[in-house]
Order: sequence, then structure tokens, then C-alpha cells
Amino acid sequence: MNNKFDALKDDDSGDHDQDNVSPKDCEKEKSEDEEKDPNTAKKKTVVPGAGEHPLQYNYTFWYSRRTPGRPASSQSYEQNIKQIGSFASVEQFWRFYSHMIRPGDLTGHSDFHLFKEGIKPMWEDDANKSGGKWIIRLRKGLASRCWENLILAMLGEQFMVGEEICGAVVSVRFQEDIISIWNKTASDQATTARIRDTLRRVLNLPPNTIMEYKTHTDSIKAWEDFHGLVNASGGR
Amino acid sequence: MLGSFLYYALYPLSRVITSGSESLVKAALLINRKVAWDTGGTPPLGLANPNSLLLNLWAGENYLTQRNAEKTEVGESKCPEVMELEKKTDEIGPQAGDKAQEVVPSKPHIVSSQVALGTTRQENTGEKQNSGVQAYPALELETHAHFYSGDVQERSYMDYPVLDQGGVFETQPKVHGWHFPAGHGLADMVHQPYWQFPSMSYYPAQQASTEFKVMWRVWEDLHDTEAETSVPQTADQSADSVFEFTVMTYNILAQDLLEANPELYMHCSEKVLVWSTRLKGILQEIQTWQPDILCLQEAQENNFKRQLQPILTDMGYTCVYKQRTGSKSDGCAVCYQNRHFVQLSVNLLELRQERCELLDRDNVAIVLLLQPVTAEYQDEKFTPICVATTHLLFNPRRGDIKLAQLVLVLTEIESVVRRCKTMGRECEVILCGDLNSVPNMPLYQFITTGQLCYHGLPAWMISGQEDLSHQTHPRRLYAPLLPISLGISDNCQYVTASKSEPSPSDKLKYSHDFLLHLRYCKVACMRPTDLELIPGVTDNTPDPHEKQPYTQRLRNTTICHSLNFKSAYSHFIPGKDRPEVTTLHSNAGVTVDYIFYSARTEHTRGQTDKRLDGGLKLVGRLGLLSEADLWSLRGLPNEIFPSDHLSLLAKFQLPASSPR
Repeated sequence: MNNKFDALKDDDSGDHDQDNVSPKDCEKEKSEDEEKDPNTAKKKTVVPGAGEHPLQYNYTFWYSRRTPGRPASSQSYEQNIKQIGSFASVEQFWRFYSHMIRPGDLTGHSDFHLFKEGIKPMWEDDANKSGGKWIIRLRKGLASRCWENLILAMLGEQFMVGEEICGAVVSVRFQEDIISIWNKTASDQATTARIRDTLRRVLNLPPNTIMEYKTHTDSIKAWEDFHGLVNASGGR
Repeated sequence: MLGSFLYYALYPLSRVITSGSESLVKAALLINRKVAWDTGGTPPLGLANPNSLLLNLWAGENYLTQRNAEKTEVGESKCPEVMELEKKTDEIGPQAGDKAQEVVPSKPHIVSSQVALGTTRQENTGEKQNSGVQAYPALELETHAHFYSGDVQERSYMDYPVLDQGGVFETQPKVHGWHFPAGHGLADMVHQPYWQFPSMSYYPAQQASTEFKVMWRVWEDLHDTEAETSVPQTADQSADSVFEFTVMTYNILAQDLLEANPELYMHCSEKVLVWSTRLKGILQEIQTWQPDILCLQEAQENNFKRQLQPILTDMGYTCVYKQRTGSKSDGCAVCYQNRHFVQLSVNLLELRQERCELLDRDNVAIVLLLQPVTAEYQDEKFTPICVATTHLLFNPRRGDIKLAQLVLVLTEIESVVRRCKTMGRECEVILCGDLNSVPNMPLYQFITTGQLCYHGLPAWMISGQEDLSHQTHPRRLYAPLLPISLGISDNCQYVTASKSEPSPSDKLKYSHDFLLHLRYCKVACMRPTDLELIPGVTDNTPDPHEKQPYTQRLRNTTICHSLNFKSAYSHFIPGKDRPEVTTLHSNAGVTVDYIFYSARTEHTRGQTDKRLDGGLKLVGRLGLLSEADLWSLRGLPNEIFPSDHLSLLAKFQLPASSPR
């Protein structure tokens, strides 16, 4: 009955097998070519690939995890923090991001840091030493979405505070998660206010969410107080 | 006994001959295929002619009652036609006998036996006596008749009351209806050119003339005076404050495709498939209706450029043509009347996109922006009209591709509308063409309702041309429909990087949406070679189909558009339950061609304050036909309709744009 109608009017008929192949399968073959790309080599400065969308700044992903049972020290902090990779374009950002586990799925006491290339995610870094950060404490389950929104706003230059932004951190803790965004000048109230307002907007936060600004000097001091004599020499 | 047996043999034959003598089978075919083929109810009417009158008398009361009973049985839905038929038959009666012998043979052996029998029968009926010798040819003919017009033959048993009385065929089962399969046999009996018969039933009566003048398709005037009067008429709302125009969309069947798929046109006679014949028919269709905007699909490049376009140009049209990509020889065209429109912009869309796996077919679309002009108003009194036409993929199994193609077309339309809005102007939209999808299925619903949750739908269902629900593992649609790298959002908008506009801070700014659209671009799916593998930290695999809990779920599985589309056709023959058909080949006819228009929305505030808000008003259309109607014309293409699609023609009213 339907045989005639089944006959297709043109050659558009193909239910090609390759239609079922997902994009990533195809890409695997190409990834070997990428190794020849000098730009992905570690020590060199990354540049956007051809046809990619360049970012205003290059950024670096970092990861840190506190080893249980060992006292935290400035030394061990720097040892525990690991550079994941740097990128210069939107496409390169997604390459890293897509291959990283979402913060909400991280285990233990872990942090992801995303900082402008050349700025270490440490209070002591030159760019950070007179700066501070906005802190938002999140109940469990929200970190992945908020982190993504935060870094997309940062990469897309949505904060409109010139060169003030240094980076962002998501900290996975036992009962809560914390996201924060760091800026250079803690004393610049116009800038910090602007960052706060943008955060509220891009994270789509409920109005009653508590946002706290903390200067790094205060953080260092609190850390020293907490650790007492252990690390009197300063640092963290 | 012999007498009654011969009567049994000859009486039906007399039927066969009278009905074979053109009028009945022919007329019945013309009205409705079912009348002739499914019930077989009409042939007995042939007895109205003088030759069978004697038989009727002889049959007596039984015959009449049975015949009446039959009429009611047959008549339920077709009563008017049958009655009319009967009248016709009465008129034709006197000549019918002669015509039976004039029939031009297409199958010589039948006709010769018909003729032979014709004489035999006349002798028989006259004398009511017969010899055994005469009966043999009659019986032989009966076999033929049975073969070629089974229902006519069989049905006659019932109408022959003598049989029951005589008890000869007591075992003959009483049959209440006969199904006769559609086939060539019956049509072959119809030798006479059918246009000699006047139109039937709901078609408007035409004056008798030697030429074929039957208006098969009627113009449906949809001006509703009531609604017009309920709208407060202001003084300046006179005739010149509305702009009326007609739009035709017509898939004219590319000759190359016709020749490449002969199996679809097996039912057609050779001569209706010849291009020169079809070209004449196509031009006649255009010249008859003179649409102000003409959208063509399957316009073959060489034929269009060399033959159609010059004539259309002479007729005052400006033509925009886009050939399909690849090696396809056909394409789409939009032609508009120069005296009514000025072209503001044109976009020739190729629906093949290298960046998208789904968009790998050579279909095209045209999106035009036209400014209506009138003699008095060269200014911008009327809002511009965006006219889009396309011919989507045919493959019934690949609704996913059709939907993706449609999204591309709608996105282009949306951008045209948006551009108008940035210039402070409204814009009306007409989308027409061959969408290769049937009414009320997902693709259609997406157009008319403005949104579609496609995630998980089987691909065949999108167009609904065929029911493939028996497939155990059908291809399904998954979100996102289009790769984000294509730069088209779920609401049919082009996603543009805001970096194109230099921002005051001179920074490379990207919106959240723009960044997201690059998420699964090719580069992003490749693992960076310098990325250290830390289990539980950097061992994620990007999956474009992964659920995205971070954004609204609805947004990811649903596409939408903001064009308020309405179909100019209702997809059912007005007043009948039969679906309209815009295309027909082989043995299935469906609606796949459409004219959608941005509809006038009526805002009702309270009981009295009715306000019409922009939009086009549909004021008329050219009626379509049902599948049965078309089969009665031996399918498509035929002598009247030169393509395997019918043209669609609608008339719209555009109110003068309100002063701002």
C-alpha cells in the first residue's frame, strides 16, 4: 500500500549511519593534530586559535585540595594548589571547563580557582595584597550553577570595573559551599559596590542572600590568629 | 427456466452497456470515487433509459421498492448527487444507446462484444424470446463485464427480483455493499473525455459550452461583514485605507524530479507529464488568478529562467530565484507585482550548514521584505510585508531535519521583523511553501502555536506524513536541536556577540547566552593535551546531550518563536468532513503546502471595546479539493492540474498603519 509513497522524490532519503555519530566521536580523531599546536604547550603564553573568540584577558584554572590531617600552612597551601591550564579564548575556556568535574560533584575539601594569567590565587600575590573578596555562602546543591554563572560573567567582562577583578574561587566544604570573587583594591568602595550589584544580577540570588566583603589583610590576620604560633612568620 | 436464466444473463448486461455508455460510471466517478467504487450503487439508475424500461416494467413493483431502498442506502451522504445524476441520466437516456456503440475502444475485445451484445440485447428485450445461440456471446460478455466492472455486474443480481421469485438463485447471498478496489480497470471503461459532463453538486453550475469550463476550485469569500461593522468605522477608514493583495504558493513539480521518480506518476497518462503541456497549465493557473505575490517551489532552474521568468516579467512580476544547493536543479522563487510592491530586502537562504550535522540537505528558502505601494500612497502608509517561501526536505523519516530547517527560516524572518522594529516599523509576515508536513503534527504546531517541546519526539512524528510508530527504535530528537555554534537561540533569534558593537570600555564583552552557545563547539569538546588527568577533578567528558540543571529545563528542550502565525486554509473542505489535499501521488493525498500569515489579533476589553491590532486579515481563498475529487480526475498531474500539487491562493487585507 505504501510502497509507492515510500519512494522518495529525491535523494534526500538517506538515513545515514553516520547520522548517529555524536560530535565528540568525530573530534577524537582530530585531537591528535592539536598536539602539534605550539600554543598549547605549557610554559608559553596562550593565544586564541584562529576563528576563536578572544577574551579580554587570559585566565588560568587552579585546583586545590586540603590533605586531611596535615596542618595548613602557607607552604603546604602552595604545594597543594595545582595549575590546571590557561586559556585565551571562549572556546579554549570551554575546553578546560567541559573536562573538569562540576564543583558540586567534587569530593572533600576542594577548591577551584580561576584567576587572570599571572595572578596566583594567594593573598600574598602582588595583585591581591591590597585587595579583598566578596563571599557568598551557598547551601549544598547550588555551587555548580552559581560557579558557572560567576565565571561566565567574569570572562565576559560583565563586572565593568576596569582591571579590578583578579579571579574567582569556589570552595567545597562539608556543609556548605562558598564562592568568592577577588578584586585588587579593597578600599575602592565604588568598585566593590559595583561588583556586589553585578553578582546579585548574574547569580540571580534571592534578595536575602548574605554577601560579605572581606579584605585579604583581614583574612591574613584571622588566619594568623587562628593558627597562633604555628606560623608566626606570617603568610597565611 | 431458460428464459429466466437468459434474463439473468442479459439483464445485467444491459446495465453494463448502458452504464458503459459513459454517462453513469463517468458521472459517478466525477462526483466521488466512492459512489462508483465502494457502493456501486449508481449503475442501476441506468435503467431509466428506454431500453431497460421494459425490464423495469416486467420486474414490477419489486423492482421499484428495491430500488428505492437502495437509494436510501446509497443516498445518506450523497443523496443530492445521486438525484442529480438520475436527472442527467434521464436526459441523456435517448442517446445513450447510440453512444454505447460509438465508444472508442481502448480494449478492443470488450467493446466489440459490447457492440455485439448491444444488438443481441435489443432483440432480446424486444421479443422477450431468445435462442440458445444468441445466449453464448452474451455469456461470454458477461465474463468480460465481470472482470472489468465487477461491482456493476454483481450488484445487478440484487436488483433482479425475478431471481428470488423464481428461486433459481436462492443460495445467492444477499449483499449489501460491494467494495471495488481502486484500479485502472474501471477507469479504462471511461473512454469519453470527461469534460463533456457538466459539473456536479457543490461546484457552481457552469453554462454549457463546448469548451471545458468547469470551475473545479471555487473562490471562498471570507469577508465577514459582521465583524467589520462591529469595529467602529471612522471617516477615513474608506476603501483606500486597506491594501488588498493575493498570495499564491505553488509547487510546480520539477520536470527532473518527475522523470527521476516515474513510479510516483504511474497513474498519469504520458501526455500530462510532458513539460510543455505542464508549462502551459502552470502559466494558465498563474494567468487565471494573477496573484500579487507568487511563490514557487520545485521551479527547475533552466525551465524557470528560460521559460517562466520571461513570461512572468512580461506580466509585471519581479522574480527572485534561489536554486537548491549541491547538484539539485530545482529551487524556489518569489515573484511580486511591480505595481503593488517595492522590494526592501532579500535574503536567499541555504539550509545546508556546515556547522550543523542536522542541516546537511540541499534545501533553500527565500525571505523577502516588500513595501506595499499604491498609486496615491508612495509613502509608507502600509506596513511592510515579509514574504518567506521554502521547500523543506521530503523524507518522511527525517522530521528532525525539517524542524531544524524551519528554525533557520523562522530565525531569518524574526531578524527581518526585528530589523523593521528597530526602524520603528511593524512588519507583517507571510510564510508559505511546501513544508512536507501534515497539519496538526509537531512541525505544524510549532508554527501555529509558537512553541514546541521537541525533546524525545520520534523524528517521523514531526512531519506526520507517515505513521512509523511501529518502529521499535525510531530516531528521536534531542536537545539541543541546533548546535550552539550555529548561533541560533531556542527562540529563533540570531545570537550575536556584543563585541561587534564597540563597547565604551573597549573591552571584549560577551553575554552569558553567547558564551553558552559556544559550550559544545568542536574545539571545546577536545580534551586539552596539557590537561593533567586528576581523577574526580579533570576527568569529565563533555556531553552535548547532558542534562543542564543549571539553566531552565524548558529552555533546553523547547523551541519557540514570536510570530503569530495562522493558516489561511482550514485543512478541511468547508462543510464536509473530508480533508483538503494539496498534493497527491501514488495512492495517498495530503496537505503539505501552506500559507501562514501573521494574524490580526483581536483585543477585547470588556464587552464593547474591541480593538484590532495590526496583522493581516484573510478575506478569501481558492478552495482546495479532497483526495476523492482528485482521484476522480485520475490523480495528479492531470489535464486540469499540471503539477502533483495544487496551488494555494489567499487574499489578505492590510490596514493602513496607524499614525504614530
